[in-house]
Amino acid sequence: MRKLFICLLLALPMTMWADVTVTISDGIDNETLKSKMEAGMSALLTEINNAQAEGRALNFAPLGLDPSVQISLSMLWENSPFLCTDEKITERGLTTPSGYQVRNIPLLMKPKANRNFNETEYQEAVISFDKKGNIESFYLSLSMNLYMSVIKENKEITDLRRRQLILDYVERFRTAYNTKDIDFLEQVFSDDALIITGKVISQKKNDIKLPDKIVYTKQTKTEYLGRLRQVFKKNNYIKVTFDEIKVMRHPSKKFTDFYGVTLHQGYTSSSYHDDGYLFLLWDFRDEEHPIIHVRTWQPDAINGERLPEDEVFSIYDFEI
Amino acid sequence: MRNERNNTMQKRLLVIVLCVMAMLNGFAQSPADQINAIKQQSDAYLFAEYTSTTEDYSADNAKFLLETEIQNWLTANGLPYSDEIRQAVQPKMQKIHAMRGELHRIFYYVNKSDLRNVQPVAKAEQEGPRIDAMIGMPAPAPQPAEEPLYPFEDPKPAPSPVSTPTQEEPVAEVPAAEPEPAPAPAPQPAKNPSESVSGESEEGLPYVPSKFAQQMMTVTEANAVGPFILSLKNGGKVTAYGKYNTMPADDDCYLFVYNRELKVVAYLNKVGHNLYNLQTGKLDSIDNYKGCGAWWFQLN
Repeated sequence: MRKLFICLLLALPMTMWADVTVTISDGIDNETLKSKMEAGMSALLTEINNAQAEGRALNFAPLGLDPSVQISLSMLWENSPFLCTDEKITERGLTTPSGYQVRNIPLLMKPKANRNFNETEYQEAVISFDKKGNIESFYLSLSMNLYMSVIKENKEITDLRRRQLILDYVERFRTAYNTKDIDFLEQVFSDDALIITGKVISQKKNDIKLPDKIVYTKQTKTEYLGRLRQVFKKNNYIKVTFDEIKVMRHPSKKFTDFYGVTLHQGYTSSSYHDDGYLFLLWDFRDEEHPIIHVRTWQPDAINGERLPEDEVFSIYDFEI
Repeated sequence: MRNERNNTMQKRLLVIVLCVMAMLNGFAQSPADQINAIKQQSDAYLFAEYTSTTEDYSADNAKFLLETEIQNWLTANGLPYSDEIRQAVQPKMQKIHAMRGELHRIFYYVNKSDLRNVQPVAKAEQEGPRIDAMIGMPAPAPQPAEEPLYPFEDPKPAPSPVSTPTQEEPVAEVPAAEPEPAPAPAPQPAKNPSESVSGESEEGLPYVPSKFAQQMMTVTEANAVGPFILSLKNGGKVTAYGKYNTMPADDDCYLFVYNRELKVVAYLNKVGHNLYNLQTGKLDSIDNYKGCGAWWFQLN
């Protein structure tokens, strides 16, 4: 009878409460480092699934994560809890300027009932490590639809590689706002970056409403980041989404390292929401440290109409 | 005595059978396991994958991504790459289909040794122009760019109650409707699409949506709208499509309307300036869908 019971138990699917196991297939030669990274990711993803199943917050105590990583994970969780869809994950390890990265971690977002979630349920995460194999960030990559739309426009190999790099940096740029990573933004904007923000002004004359107009304000990097620090301090959460993206290489042969990226951005914080077009002029002359020379924001509609395409900032509007 | 021996034999047999079943269950390799096994051999294989709500959408994208990988790899290894080579590689690409919950995960892979020896397909054998079944990207020959088709459009959340006077109000995706037209007589057959509009029922008879309308109604999630339209486009049935704000004012078309929870809430048929609800057959109005988003498309 006991033998029968043991056999029945063995015959049950082995996957009822399995942990998540991550294997790095290649890209990391140091076996000790690789094992450390695999163990860290496996423990984190297992905790994510347990927390989701139990309807609780993430318990960071046994994970040994840096406080900054704990904060950014908590903020992602606050936006929408999630779970890892696979029990076994095999991915490459990539080398980055600051350490290593593992991409394509499959997640299913499980937003809370009282919070609108405007992105597709399936997302992929990126986990970055420092050179010692400690997790230093966890963020959501751009939706695959956006990724595909940019990659499919590539004209040549170098262009394809640059587009992949651009997407990686746009991802990190978005995550920097969601996780209030002012240090990354400090580093990614050039010191003499031109920052332009547009806002809609409603006008009235003799109690008659006149058409709205957009007024543009210029800021330095210092002014812009100073204001952003205040916004980060004031708001519990910030969520930036991109649902359209256009990448245009500079048409001049002299400036083939410059790319204009136009994004349709949705910005939501604890106290505010807007939608608009974000334009970034990226300089990839140093591919390991790309920088933004121009950042513009303008509302996506005026007087109830979508902003005409020719009024949206593009690479043609700026002289390099 | 004999009975007791028989019972013991039967129990032993049962135990053996169950143990074998357990072992087989443990050794059975799922599609996900097969994928992981191939990924472990990145020195031997190139691969790519894509996950989405439909199999075709995932397959098209995974295939494209693998073709990109192949192009990168051949170029990096000093091997030629051309459209003829891309076509020659097609039969060598293998596919694994796995599920992630209700999502379709398609994994394409190819053996690197097959790539080293690939011969370009002779021009006479080439297949026709590649139809990019995915997002509406421009064809290689210069053509006007099509509007990219995203499976969904983020509906804008309701404006926050706290905003400064200078901030614009988020724009509702469905603008205020024009004054409602005079009630139409029995709906006229649509110029486009080819299916006639199923209209108001005759007295006493229940309204029955057309076959095409029923097909539309199988799409209940906003992110399945894109694949549905694209699959019709691949079959040569769709002549034009786009987001609500690009909908032609005078032409007939079909619409999917979805809410902020990305659920499709209405299936409409625009006939001239009238909108008919395909689920009820009755005249409808865009006013009923404030705060929603919509995609339209026209059939051949």
